[in-house]
Amino acid sequence: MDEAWIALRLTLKVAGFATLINLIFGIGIAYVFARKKFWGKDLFDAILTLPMVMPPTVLGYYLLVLFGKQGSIGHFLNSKLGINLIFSWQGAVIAAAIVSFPLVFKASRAAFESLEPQYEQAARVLGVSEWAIFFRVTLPLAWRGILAGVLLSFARSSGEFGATLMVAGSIPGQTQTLSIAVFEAVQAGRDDVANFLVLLTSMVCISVLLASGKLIPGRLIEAR
Amino acid sequence: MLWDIAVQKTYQNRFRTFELNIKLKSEAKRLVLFGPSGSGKTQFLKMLSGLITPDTGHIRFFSEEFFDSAKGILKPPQKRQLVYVFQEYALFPHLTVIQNIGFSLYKNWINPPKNIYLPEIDKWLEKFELKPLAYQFPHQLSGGQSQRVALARALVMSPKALLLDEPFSALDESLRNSLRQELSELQTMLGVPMVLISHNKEDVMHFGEEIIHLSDGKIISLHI
Repeated sequence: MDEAWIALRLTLKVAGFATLINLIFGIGIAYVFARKKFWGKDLFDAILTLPMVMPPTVLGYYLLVLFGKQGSIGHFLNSKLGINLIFSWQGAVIAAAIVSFPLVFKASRAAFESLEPQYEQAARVLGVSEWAIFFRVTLPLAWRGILAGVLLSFARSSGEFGATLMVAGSIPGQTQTLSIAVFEAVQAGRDDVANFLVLLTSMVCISVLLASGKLIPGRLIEAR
Repeated sequence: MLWDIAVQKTYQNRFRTFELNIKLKSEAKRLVLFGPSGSGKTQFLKMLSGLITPDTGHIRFFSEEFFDSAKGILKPPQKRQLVYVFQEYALFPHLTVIQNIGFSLYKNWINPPKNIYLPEIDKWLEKFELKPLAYQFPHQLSGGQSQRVALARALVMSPKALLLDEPFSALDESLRNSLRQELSELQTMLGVPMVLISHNKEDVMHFGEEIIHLSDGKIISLHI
């Protein structure tokens, strides 16, 4: 059953990094969308939300085209930096991050937009810079809404199957995450392994849900 | 000249157009803006603080230029050192009373620590009898207490002027009288210029040195 634990560790690593990427980009981009006016905002919003509605295999295909050796980004990474993302765990991270990006983006944007503007305005007249206001007022007040999206993104990343399989393949110990390992085990008729993997996956999911239940209702702050 | 202001801004939506057009020169340290709701009082006060930018005109305070559309001058609220005190106080709900008061004394990306102690904060806690409430959160305070915290938070940064939006409106009659008295004494003691919004005749009579009567975005009378 060692392979199951290896798959679990890999899954947590991939989901962890994917969530970290979304934490930075998802929150940053959501803030810009919530506060700024710019041309084509609705169109960009739709493009950024696409991963939520498109089949993961289609996304995986896009990623292969972009990050493959002949792809525009893949060619650059390979020739200039010697990095090849296809069939690597880093590729699985990219796939998981993109698939779960809309969850952080949507939740964060809603959280920022529902904030009363008077708190940021009050901070402004007290002489605090815009960047400091983001970290000291905006983020702490919107945090609960953002966290919900971040946890969902972690759960979605750890369950990612379609795009990951297309981009990173199914190399045991390298790119074979839990959900892919379950598929492989069933295909190979190894029911005992499949049973154990399914049990393990269910327990991880329950832990994430319990953690989110603990974190989200939390301390009740009257955010009027 | 204390205040030398000429501002114009047009608000337009599908249903109506509202034009704010105010010209005003005043030496009064207690200026009261009086008028019905929707007359543009809050918009005007926010223009002084820099939270709203007029379309055209100028705002000078002690011959310091805050805004001049002809010369292309626009100082952000952070650089004006006029503190706007919100009608609903806008205390930061995630910070304690003492952290709220110390907010402007920390200019970097981190909020004041929970155990902050600074003599200038202590002075205002003492003055407004807030010591027993120092570690409470805003949602645990009454209206009158919140009002004092908001004033302390403003005064701790030694502002050049205080801009008060309906400071008594959320308080009951007896509290209203005592706070009016307190604010009046404070103004005399500190000599800090105040601009105050009210739609209550009594506030106006007790507090105003110069009264500006606004209606529909225009000054309709001046009482000195």
